[in-house]
Amino acid sequence: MSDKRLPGDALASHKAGRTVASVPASIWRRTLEHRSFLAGSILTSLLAGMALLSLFWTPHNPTRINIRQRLASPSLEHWLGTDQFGRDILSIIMTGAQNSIMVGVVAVGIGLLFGVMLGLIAASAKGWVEELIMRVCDFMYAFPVILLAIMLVATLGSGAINAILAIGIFAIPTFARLARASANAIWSREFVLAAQAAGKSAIRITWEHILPNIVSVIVVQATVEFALAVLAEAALSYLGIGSQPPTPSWGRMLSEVQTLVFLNPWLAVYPGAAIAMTVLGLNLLGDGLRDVLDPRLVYKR
Amino acid sequence: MTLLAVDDLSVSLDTAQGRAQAVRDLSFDLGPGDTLGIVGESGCGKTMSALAILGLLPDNAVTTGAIRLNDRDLLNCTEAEWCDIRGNQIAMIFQEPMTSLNPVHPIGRQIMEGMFLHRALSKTQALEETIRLLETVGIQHAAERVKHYPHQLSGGQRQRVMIAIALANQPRLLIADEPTTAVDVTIQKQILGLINKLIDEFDMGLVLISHDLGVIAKLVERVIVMYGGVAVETGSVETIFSDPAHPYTCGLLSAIPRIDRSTHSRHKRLPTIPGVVPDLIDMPEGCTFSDRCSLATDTCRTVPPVPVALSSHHQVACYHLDRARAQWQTGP
Amino acid sequence: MKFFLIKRLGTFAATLFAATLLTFFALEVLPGDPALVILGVDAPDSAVAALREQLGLNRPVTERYIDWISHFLRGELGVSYTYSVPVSELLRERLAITIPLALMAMALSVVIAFSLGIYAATHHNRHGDVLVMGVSQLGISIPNFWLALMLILLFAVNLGWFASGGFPGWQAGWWPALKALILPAIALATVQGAILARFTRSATLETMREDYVRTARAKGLNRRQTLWRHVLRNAMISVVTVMGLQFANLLAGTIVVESVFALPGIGRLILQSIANRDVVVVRDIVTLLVAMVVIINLVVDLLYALIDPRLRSSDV
Repeated sequence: MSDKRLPGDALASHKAGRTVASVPASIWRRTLEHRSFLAGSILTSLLAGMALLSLFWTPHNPTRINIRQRLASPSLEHWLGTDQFGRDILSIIMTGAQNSIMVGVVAVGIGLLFGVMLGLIAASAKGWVEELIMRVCDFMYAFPVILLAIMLVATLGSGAINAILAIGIFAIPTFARLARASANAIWSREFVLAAQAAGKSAIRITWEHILPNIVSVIVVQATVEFALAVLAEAALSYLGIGSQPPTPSWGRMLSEVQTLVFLNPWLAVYPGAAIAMTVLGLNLLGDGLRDVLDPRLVYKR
Repeated sequence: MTLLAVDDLSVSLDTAQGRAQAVRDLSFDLGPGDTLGIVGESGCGKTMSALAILGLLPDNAVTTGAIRLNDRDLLNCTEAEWCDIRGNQIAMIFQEPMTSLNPVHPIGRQIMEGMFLHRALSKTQALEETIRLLETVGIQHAAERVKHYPHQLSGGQRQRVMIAIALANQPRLLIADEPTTAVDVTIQKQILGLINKLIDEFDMGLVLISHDLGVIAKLVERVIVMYGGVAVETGSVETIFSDPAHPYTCGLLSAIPRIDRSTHSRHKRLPTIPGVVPDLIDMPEGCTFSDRCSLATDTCRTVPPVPVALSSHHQVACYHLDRARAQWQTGP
Repeated sequence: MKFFLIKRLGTFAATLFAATLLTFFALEVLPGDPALVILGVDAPDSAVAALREQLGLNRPVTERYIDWISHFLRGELGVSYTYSVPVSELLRERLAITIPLALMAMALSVVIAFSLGIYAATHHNRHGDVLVMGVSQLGISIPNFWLALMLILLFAVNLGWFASGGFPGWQAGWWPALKALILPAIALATVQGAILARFTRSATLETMREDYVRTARAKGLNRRQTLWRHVLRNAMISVVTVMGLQFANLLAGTIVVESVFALPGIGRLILQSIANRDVVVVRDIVTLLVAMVVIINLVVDLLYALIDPRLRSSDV
């Protein structure tokens, strides 16, 4: 049951194919995995850098309307051109990154906080509490994030906050399941049994032993959920039930230019590419982190 | 007439950590109806040897030497030719009866699958034969059982089904890889008895792989003791048990609790061989056992010993035979 | 089998019941006052009170819930505030678009996922595998509504093969109607297919390492026969689970993609209803969509029993 792979063990097992990969392919794969971490880090830092920079400086005021300059082609003054109101697209994209990051941080924060808490409670309480929490999580899977957002917006009216809330709630069951599964794996380890035998309380064990051991798994999941949040926010804003004007948002940019794609297709390309690059970067980063942090133990249910 | 001839078989595996030498210069002959045991600790290369004979090594394995079945060189076979041989002329029983059967197919279908593959049989013929075969391996109510799924069978029954799958086409050679490791002791005895009966009945050659000298002693005539991918000692079962010459074999034997030795070692703990099986990637340059051997000298560590014939059916690869045997005879 | 069925049907009923409760209470009881939402915050109190009376909001909650659910179960959905027609009538036309679209997208994504996933698994660690994984990584990252826009740009605007949106109606013949759904289905299926392809690959790889696969090879089956007879059926058990779970996302995706292609399906209806503050329609559609998700998951559970004999037998 050791998670260290000794070559001898690998050979002893009949499943040698699983652990021993051929040299050129495996080296290629490992560099590639490493590369995906690298690419993910670069794309993600680019996003963060863009958002940070836009706090202090953008080429133009992203909300300033200038009808005379509408639908301008890319030029030295407007690198990516202007939209139908003559606003500088690069500036909107840069400011839009703020929105995506904010939504991601808050929504993942909600999902992570409540999800991990529920998962840890389920794992330490066992019995009917665990059963109840997990059944509720199963149940939540029947509500896709867009339906949740629609329900919230129908009750409370449109607004960025409702969209974020919906995305956050949607992420709770995923975090809860992961936290429970990982925590259960740790609960059965010897050092936890020893701590139990020493009379430590469940809360203390959870805090001292369980949580530190599942952090890496949670971090990896948070990265992936961040990507999902960016995607979901874009979709909701596109539908008009996410962030409201004048906050620049990539999703809403797409809905605003939709009727103009016949005139200027690039208007639709930029925001979409920004979303795709962000999501790709976060997904790659998540994959890379998974290998770097190597939470193999808990992933192997 | 030899059924199976293995000559200087070497198997190495390319891993991310480097090349692992799993089997080194293994040679043996097996006549029709002969029985051979390969014994050693896990990771000594015995399973790799078996998979090489069946052509089922992982993709990253490099094989050299020769394996001949009825004078046909198997290592030069194409994949299609291998498929024709597997399950037809050579069959194998695996270690884990619980996981070696496909959970989504009835057992009858899993037995018949091999029959259809190698012989032109009608469905009824195959079914009849399957039921007969299940009865032969000791499954009761076989006509009912063919429709059952693996999860409806006990571990012992599943291993019997595995044996039936192996025998489906009356192979000339049966390879059994730890066939009784995963079942409990009473079942173990039954399964061993069954294999023993069947190799006589079907006149098959048997290569039995086990870490358990007790199992080996019950079924085979000849034994190869493997360590670190190398055959360190070869001989008849009687010779190996009564007159072991290699320090490793001596170590293995003294690790078995024996009633006749208990008189003078009652208060002593059962001896074990110190150390662990060496890393196959980073083997000692000389004798593979040298870093665990109490008799090892500098020569042992640098130059691999060549097998020496002590008699017509007893070969040992060791520089310190006499000291090892002397030590064994005075008791460990 | 009987026990398994009863258990699944029980879970199914419980989930549906909980879903109706959640939708009902979220939309009618939680902070927002539907009357206020419909009329806007600036509406005079008297108008709000009148609408509350009209909507029956002054009756006890449980009574209203029972009233709604008993009508819902009989297929008598509410009457839309804005359209002034029974919701069930609205739904019938809209579902005739959404359901075929969802099914087309599902089928297409399964085709993509299986072919790519199985190809990658059988070429594990080789160039083809790496390529497929890279492409699917990209596929997962693209927002489906943006892909929809790009498809319009390419196939409708530049190549002119398809209309850029709208729906001619099934009465215009099955081909024109189907043709209008092709691009939306591709947009939906690409993302779903990419996710499923990764699952199919890992499930297939995992199954290929099973002991019984080695047994099959030892019988003399070649790689292809082993794959088809022994690997895929077992791998499907876990792929089907993910497919069921993904169905909810597919439906959600339908809402967005319908919007891009201006298809008058359920998605458009629910968005219009929100814009119009038509809570009755929103509530019924949400319930209906959740019911669809739950039913699909029930079907998946029953599929399990077909694939996996361990669930079928009485002694489990």
